[in-house]
Amino acid sequence: MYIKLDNEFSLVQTVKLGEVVLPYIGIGAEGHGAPSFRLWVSRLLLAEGRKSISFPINATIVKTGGGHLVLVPSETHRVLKVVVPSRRSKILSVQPTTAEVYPFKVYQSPCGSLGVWAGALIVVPVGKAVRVEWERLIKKFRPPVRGISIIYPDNTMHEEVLPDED
Amino acid sequence: MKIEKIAVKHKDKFPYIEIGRFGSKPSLLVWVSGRLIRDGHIFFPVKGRIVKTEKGSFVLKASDDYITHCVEIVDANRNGLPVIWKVEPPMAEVYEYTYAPGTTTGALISVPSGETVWVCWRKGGGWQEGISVITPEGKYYEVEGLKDREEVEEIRRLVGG
Repeated sequence: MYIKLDNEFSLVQTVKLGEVVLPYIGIGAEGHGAPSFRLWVSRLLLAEGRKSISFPINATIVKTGGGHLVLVPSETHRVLKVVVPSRRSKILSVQPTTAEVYPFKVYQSPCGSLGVWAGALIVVPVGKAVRVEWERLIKKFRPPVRGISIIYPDNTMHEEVLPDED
Repeated sequence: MKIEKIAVKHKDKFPYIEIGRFGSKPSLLVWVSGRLIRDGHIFFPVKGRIVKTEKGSFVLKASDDYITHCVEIVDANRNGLPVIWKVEPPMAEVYEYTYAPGTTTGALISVPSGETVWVCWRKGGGWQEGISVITPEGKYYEVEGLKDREEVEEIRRLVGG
């Protein structure tokens, strides 16, 4: 598997400001474990005392005026979380082009010396497959490997490595 | 960071507190009512209001209708931008002080009793922003990455509850 569909549970944390309590999950892990961004989570997704979120999830991501991202339930869209495990990796493109992509990074050590995985939250309409084009650098001084992964609505994957352009 | 207490000094029997440092002088000097002193200190939040005299001195007077908090933003910025750029509610009376440039900025904030104070700040040259909230009971909350109360309310509306 060249690309990983991350379906691990993400623990919901909260920001408390007096009477205001806002639930969120930290997405990604950059320098010393700091998340790439906070994804605020609607309470409708935390019904019945749920304290974690797992992807894929039937929801969509709403962007506020201040640029914050809020995960809200949706019957028409779903959110996938994908990462490309490698020493260094990149997500080159995502299709369909209407898909919303929110990239993040996962450092494998506090400063990323042991690898930086590229990841993304992808919002797509329910029932649509997603085609992710990626690039992985496996060994230093070797050309990166490029490939595509197609994620179907039932979360099965078809992957293939693209031939070298040289 | 919330300041819990400040030691009271005396000059010709008149009590005062000095906060911050500007060269060899304190950044802010406030004369205080003897009724507010406990064990030689002023404990925050204190039931009192800061008023400015005709000659420009500041006096912390005892009052049941007002409450005064003391907040400090540590590791503030050096580039001259205001560290505390917004305080809510709008009727809050803010008296700022600083230590050496680039270290810490603080403020004494007087608000009507029962009001929650929202302090919006920027530091590190403006790239790091956050909010400090102090409840009327003196509970202090701080969060980075949020700009102001409107932004919090917008997220709250989407999150629900």
